[in-house]
Amino acid sequence: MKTSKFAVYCLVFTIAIAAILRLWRLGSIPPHITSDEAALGYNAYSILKTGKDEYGELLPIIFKSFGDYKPGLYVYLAVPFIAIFGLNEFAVRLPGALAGVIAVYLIFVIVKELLGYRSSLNNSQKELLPTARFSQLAALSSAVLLAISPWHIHFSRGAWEANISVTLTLGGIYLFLKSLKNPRLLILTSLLFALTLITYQGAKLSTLIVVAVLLLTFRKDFAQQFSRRLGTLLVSAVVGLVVVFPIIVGIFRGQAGRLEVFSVFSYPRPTDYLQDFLDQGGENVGNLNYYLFHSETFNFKRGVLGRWFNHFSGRFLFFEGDYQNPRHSVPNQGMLLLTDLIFLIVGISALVKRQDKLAILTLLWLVLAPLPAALSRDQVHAVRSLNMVIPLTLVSTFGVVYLIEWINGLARWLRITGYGFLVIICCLSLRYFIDAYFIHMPIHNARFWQYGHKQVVEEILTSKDGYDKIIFQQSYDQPYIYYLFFSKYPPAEYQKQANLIGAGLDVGLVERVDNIEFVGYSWPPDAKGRDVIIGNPVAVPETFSTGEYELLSEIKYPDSVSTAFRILQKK
Amino acid sequence: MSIKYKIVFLLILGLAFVLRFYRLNDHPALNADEAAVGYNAYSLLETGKDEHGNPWPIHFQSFNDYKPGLYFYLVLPFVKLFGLNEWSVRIPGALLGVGTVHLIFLLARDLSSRLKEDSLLATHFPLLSAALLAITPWHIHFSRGAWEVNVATFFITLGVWLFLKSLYNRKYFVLCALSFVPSLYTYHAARVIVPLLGSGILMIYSNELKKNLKWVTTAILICGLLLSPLAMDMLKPGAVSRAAGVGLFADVGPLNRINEQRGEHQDFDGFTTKVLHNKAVNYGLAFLENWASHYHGLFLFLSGDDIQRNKVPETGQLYIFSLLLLVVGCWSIFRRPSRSWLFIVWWLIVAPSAAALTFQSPHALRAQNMVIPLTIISAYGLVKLIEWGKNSLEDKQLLTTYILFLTAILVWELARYQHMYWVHMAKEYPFSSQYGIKELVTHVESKKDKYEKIIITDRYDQPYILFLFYTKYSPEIFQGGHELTPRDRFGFSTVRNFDKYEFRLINFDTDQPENPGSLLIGTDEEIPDEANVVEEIYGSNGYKYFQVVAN
Repeated sequence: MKTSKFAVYCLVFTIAIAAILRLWRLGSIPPHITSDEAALGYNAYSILKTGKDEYGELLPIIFKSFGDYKPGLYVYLAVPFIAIFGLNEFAVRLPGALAGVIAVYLIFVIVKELLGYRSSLNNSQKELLPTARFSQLAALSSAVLLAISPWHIHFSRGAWEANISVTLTLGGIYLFLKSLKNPRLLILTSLLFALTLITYQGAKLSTLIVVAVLLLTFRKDFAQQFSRRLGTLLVSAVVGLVVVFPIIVGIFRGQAGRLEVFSVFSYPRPTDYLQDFLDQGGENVGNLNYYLFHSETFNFKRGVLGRWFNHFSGRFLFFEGDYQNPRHSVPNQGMLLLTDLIFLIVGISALVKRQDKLAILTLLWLVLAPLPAALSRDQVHAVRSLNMVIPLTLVSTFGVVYLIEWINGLARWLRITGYGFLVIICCLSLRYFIDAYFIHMPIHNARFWQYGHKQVVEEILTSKDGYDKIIFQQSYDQPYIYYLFFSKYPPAEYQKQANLIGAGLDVGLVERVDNIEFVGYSWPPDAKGRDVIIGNPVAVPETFSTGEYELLSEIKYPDSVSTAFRILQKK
Repeated sequence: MSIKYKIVFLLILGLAFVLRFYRLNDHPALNADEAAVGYNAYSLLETGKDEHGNPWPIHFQSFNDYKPGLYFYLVLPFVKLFGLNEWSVRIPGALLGVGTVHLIFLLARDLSSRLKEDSLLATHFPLLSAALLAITPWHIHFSRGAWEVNVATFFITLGVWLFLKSLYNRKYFVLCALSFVPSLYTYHAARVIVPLLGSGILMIYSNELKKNLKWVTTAILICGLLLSPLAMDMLKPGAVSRAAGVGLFADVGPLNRINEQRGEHQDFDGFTTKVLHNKAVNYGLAFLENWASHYHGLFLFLSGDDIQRNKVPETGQLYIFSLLLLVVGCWSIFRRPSRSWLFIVWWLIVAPSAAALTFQSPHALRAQNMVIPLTIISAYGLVKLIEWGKNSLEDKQLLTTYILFLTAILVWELARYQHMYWVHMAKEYPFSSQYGIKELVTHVESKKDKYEKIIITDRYDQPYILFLFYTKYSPEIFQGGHELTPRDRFGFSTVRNFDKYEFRLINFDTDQPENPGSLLIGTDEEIPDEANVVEEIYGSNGYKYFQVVAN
């Protein structure tokens, strides 16, 4: 099915919109880079300069970083941009933003492919293929909706590995659909899916879900196509396994500690709480009543189901976003636009009626996509559930398409009113999000973006060598990486002194770079005459001025009221 | 209807009856609102006036919250018949709860005949609707007690059923109107829901209604006429105070957010700033969020309401299994949409609207009428599940196993709910109802003559009304000689003393020397260990509520 010229123009326009929304002021909004972004950037810089990561390991697939062992594809994607633009926020974030733009194109071709999909099996030809006009409308709508999706924009703007994983997944899905006609493409499909695993920790489960959903939806076609092409199947499997091999090795070498920290199954009910509850009925662990009504397995299932529900709650999707971690969304705005509330309801009913491959694929994926988040300890988690954005966009797409079809059937004046109404509510909704993202988020949420580290580093950089020691407040914000990043510290120098301490189950900390010491002190710190002390208002309380210290500089948050850091020296 | 069918239906009604009436008088303990209903009915019977001396009111002043009055009048005959006790107060609620189970059967029967689907639907759907409602936590919980909302739900369901009837027989239009009206006299939330539901009916069935314009107009006129006393009463000061106290605008969060948001704009006084951040937008969003929260799975299937009085531990408003039933039900509805379903879905959409206008959301009590459309859709889902089994499982034994399996899940869910209700609820939530007061009254009454004054803590709600209730204190004497305190910050008033009783927080260090020859009754925290404790009062749940000190 050919795409009409008009549709091509529309698509180009949509992609342009997507690019503007993802690239405009990318370096300064979000207002500060996170420590993960800084780590990805600095490791890329290190690779670029020395071919080794910050610990001196030659071209690793998995980067040790803070002891969280980051899968490394993002680092390698960032290398060329850092080579061109230098080590700065924009260069680190650019791969993510570009991947976001590519995703908009990919969802267009996927929807077109799915709607034009004609099974080679006779028995599933009952339904008529949709018209070219319809499938172009749907494909374009999906591209537009993804381009303006708050959830997708948010995670495109920044070095979020999960977003790269989404784009790779979309590429994988598209190639999978193509491979049902051109079997050799399966090898490439397998490669893309495997790459998601060396991009993002959570992809182990989320990609498995996507592959399972695809195989389930196309089980007959797939079996027919590949039952006689076992060779291709085998090569694909081998390619996939080779790529994910370092991840598998990593699991066995205990580099999956994070998995244990975040899994719900590591957190049973406290025994006191359980026993108090059981005592009310004179029950005990091991009683029949316990197994019937209060068992731990049932409790876990309730917990997982509850978190799964949270990802479909109005609060998360439309009104507050990720209420557990403000860094994952913007103030007073859900993960979706408010208009999606209407589109999703209409869309679900439309998909249920369609019952074609696209409907099955979308609904299955939608149900399973929050699982990686639901199985972890947080009540909601917009990153681990990021894959949801695709099926949600697809459902909304059909909501929009069916509303448009319905409006088309109305009398002329109603038609104009209908279109007008649809456009106006969409624009208002988008306008509200843009306001929340570009105006409010940088001010309102600055502290959640670890704001101030850049300003501190810039402040001390010039005078650093004039002091004996810089005492920088230690924290899991990993201040050392900000120092390395913003001072563009020569990687070869750092590799010699890199020393991560305390990385057991979870992340560790670095305690020293040159004459900068990262110490968790309580006021007053143990400082000598020529030392500089840096800390947030908790570590350096306002009463410092009554003591023997004087203020060198104070870093304010963008609201220019509250203080992020105080830089002091002895009087 | 075959005999077998009738027997099954009666069994379901029997089950509904048992679940609602078993130990209705003592579990959970009577709360202050219920005691107020009972005592005011008693007062009316004895003197023709309520506790504060208002003759035959439409809204009862009670704790200055002006409770809608119909439930009080329903209780009246039972107090006359059985005297002033827990049974008389709670029977109307429980009875109409069983009545609603019957009504949903009738409603589903009418729906299935309008849907014109196969016979399985026609026979099973009404029975399953009734059976599901009979065992639904949301409906059982509010049937067991003097919850006005449960009665309002009964009248709304009655009105809806009569409306469907009226599409066949136009005379029912008047009856339909007659049954919507009392719901407005029973509960605040119905005053928002019924008009919305009604306008939905007018839109969806506009063609039929146009044909019967005369009857419809008559019905609407009758409604207007019958509601005018209510409207007049609402104009009085005080009557709407409760609604205003819990209303959306009582929450200043959205208001404060406007200033915060405008402050984050460089041109905080600019046109765009004002268009994006104002009262209409922020309270509109708050309303929508509240509304949406009633469809949150956590509320519906897992944990239920936040308010302890409205729930049992670790259980949703519905069963977890209902999730599957609702999904299948909605799926089937979407596949074959019809006007009847549009109407049920409309009901489901407007049902939480009144609750969403208040700032505590989701709110199981104020949104209780949701349970009716939810149950109907669940039952439809269950029918479809059984139908699917019949069509795809050819082996008869396999089919039986399948149906037994579905039944077993429901039985287990019911058992778990009942276990939570009877074993854990009162102990996990000891302050969800006024446990311990009945025991206290019995104890104090036996010793009353020996003391000049009895000072009782009012830590928990309004104890005076429970004392009036359990002592059957003469309404005539009470009406003349008591004083209602000014409203507290939640908008409630209470009575501080009558007879020998005084109700206030105990400050033992000053009260002990100042009140010789009196009984001091306080909570564990209020009474120091060295006090002369003559009795400890435990509630029926085994929790220690009061310590009685002889002075």
